[in-house]
Amino acid sequence: MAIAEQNDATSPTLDEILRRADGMLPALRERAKEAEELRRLPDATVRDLFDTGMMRILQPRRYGGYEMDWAAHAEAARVLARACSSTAWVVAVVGAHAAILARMPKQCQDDVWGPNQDQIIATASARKEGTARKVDGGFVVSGTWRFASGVDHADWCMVPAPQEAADRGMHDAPGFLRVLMPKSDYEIQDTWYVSGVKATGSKDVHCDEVFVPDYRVMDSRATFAPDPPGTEVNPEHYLYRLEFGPYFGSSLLGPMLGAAEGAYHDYREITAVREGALFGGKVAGLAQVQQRLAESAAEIKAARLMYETNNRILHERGAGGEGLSADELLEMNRDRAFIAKLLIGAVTRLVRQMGAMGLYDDNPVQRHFRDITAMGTQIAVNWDRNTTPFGKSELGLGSEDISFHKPKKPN
Amino acid sequence: MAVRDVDAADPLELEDELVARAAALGPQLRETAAETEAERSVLPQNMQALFDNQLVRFFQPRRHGGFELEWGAQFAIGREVAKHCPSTAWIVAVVGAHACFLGRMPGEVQDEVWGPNQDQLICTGSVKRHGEAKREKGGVRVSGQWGFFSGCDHADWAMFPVQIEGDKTMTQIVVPRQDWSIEDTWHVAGMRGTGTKDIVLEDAFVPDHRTLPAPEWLAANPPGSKVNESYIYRVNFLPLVGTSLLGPMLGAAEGAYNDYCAITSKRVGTMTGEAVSENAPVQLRVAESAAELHAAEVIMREQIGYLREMGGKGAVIPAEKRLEINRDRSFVAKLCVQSTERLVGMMGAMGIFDGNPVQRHHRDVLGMATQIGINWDRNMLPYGKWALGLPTGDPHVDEELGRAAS
Repeated sequence: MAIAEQNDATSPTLDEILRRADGMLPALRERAKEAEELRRLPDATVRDLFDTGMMRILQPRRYGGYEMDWAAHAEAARVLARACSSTAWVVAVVGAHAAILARMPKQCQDDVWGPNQDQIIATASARKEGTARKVDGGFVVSGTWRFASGVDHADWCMVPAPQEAADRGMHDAPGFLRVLMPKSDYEIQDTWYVSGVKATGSKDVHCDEVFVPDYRVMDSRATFAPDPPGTEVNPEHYLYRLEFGPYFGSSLLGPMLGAAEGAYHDYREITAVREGALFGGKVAGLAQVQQRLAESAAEIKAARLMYETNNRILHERGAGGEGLSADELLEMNRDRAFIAKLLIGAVTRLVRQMGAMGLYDDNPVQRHFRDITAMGTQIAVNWDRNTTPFGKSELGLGSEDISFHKPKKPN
Repeated sequence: MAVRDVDAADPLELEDELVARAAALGPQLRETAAETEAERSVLPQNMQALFDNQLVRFFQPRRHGGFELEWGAQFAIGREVAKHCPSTAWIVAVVGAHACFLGRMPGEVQDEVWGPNQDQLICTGSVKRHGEAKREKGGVRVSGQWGFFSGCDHADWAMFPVQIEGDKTMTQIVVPRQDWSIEDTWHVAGMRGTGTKDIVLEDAFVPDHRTLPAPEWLAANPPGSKVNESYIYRVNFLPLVGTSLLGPMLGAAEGAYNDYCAITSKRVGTMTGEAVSENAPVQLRVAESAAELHAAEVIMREQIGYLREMGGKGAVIPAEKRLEINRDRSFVAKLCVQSTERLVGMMGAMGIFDGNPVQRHHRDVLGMATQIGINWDRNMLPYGKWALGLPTGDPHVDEELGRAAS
């Protein structure tokens, strides 16, 4: 308690966090090209993220974190994504892994944050292959997993593994375990050759017959379900206590919104002064161009308002100690996919107006477009997956196939 | 049924109360929606029910038995009514909001209209078919035909702008029922029940106190603000006007959605015999339309909140925000149209039958979408021009922004 009180005084306000994020934008713009070529965040950017506390937003106070309200990390990432979506992704999505760790047993948290409170905690949540075999005092783990964003800068990584050989599937399918490993346990396999969010460095991790003690292996579902083990040491914040799926899946909307805002801003700056390459004449004078810009502006605003509504509900429900009902969860999943669709549509409309200029690597709108398209591939905003369950439910067919755990019904 | 102590009541609670009354009237309106269409006018018993439930008093001044609710009340009430009958909703929200139009006119004409009877529908129509107005001693002499007087069958008064000979600007006039006749021109594809007919004046004399130069009426502090309290009679009117029809529009789209889901959840394909609701594309359509309607609702909630806040403070709404508001209104209208078209397009031949309420709602949404205030091209272009640093073509906006048209 004393630690919590002490750290309370040092937690920044949301405004302060957003101000810090905004202060990073010139450097992020300057490093954007380098970051893409590196296919991971530049070391200087990671240092900036630690110096500004961006990775501590959802970290428990007990371990020097800020324990801020939902959706401070997504809002900070939204600002960052106006310059660099990959950096924003690491803050919003990887940053939210701090809350997952905060839900795990105390010893796991001590292991990670004890030696160093500046941590990027990677997860590789898609299993190519991998198993955990029970032995005395722990598990022997082998396998290869995908999509470990930020893993080059991480001391720790979480992977899902079935206790015995099982088919590929959701990492939270029955029998899956969440395994926390230090970087000495695994090697990074560089598979991240992609068209967008290149600098997230979302590479594979591989390990072979590694012993992991019992306390760093737990039922995968238990980390996302209400009242996980970590609640005992981090009792204050709802993010460490309530059903986590609806929260975690909403993180990436911050980077997506910021990328669209960045694309809109850059498109507008370029187009306001652009002359047609072949025939001259101000491009801005074309009615079709004006209309595109207005439509994209309207879509981005609609997406922002829905995103804010979504965040407000999550925060209010969290602060009130409630979960979402199944119907609300279906609606939230539907809206997330719709928000992503609006944003991708808005950016696509703009970049396609730029002619061949829209193809060039040094056109920031092109990069924003590739980035937002890439982010849109994430399962939490997948259109087909998140829309049809809602439609089914509305048509009276039940909603059994929602992607995350059934939340606890509000009392 | 009447609210006992209007002065003591909280405007937002009153608004909720009126929305609840509208919902209670829903079944009656739904049952008579087809008949309302066939009559091409709100049915007399429904009009009476609207009066009895005080559903068109939201912007009527308190000194004349009205509620003077917050701007946007018409959106909430009209939205609820439109889930059941969009035409009747138009009368409630759009025509009902004309009480605010009259509330900005001189106190004397307000007394004339509401003095004898506080149950009033005031029809307006801004399109001149043909006609003339000449100034003479003590008033204006008017002859001609004007269009788009929704609800005129039930109105004792009409209010509309005329161009008086020799004037550069328009003048709003208020004319009693005995001075005009109705020309039934309303043979249309959607919103049939609004009875949006023409009116004809022959040599009608309009005394001075029933006239007001339109710029004075639209600008801040019109004559009516001397007698009426609320900001809706006082602030610059143009940024506000245009909210009214979006309630009926969203409600009509939501009504289409509700009916579609109710029908489709039970529907079995006529050819194949399979449950239509089992089709994934059908489920996807439902979800996308629901998301669009939610987006429309969220946008309007923000807009109304902003207008209320600015109105309450008496603050001037800046030019770029006016452009954004217009843009967003068109976008909301587009969402409503798309949402409804996606659903009705999946109903097969069933979607063209008169007995299918989704079909009627669809025609109604398209009918409302023709209104100038939400015209896509008209509202998107000025915003796009503004965003690109160009003159917008709107003289008020360009003057305020210092962007002279080249």
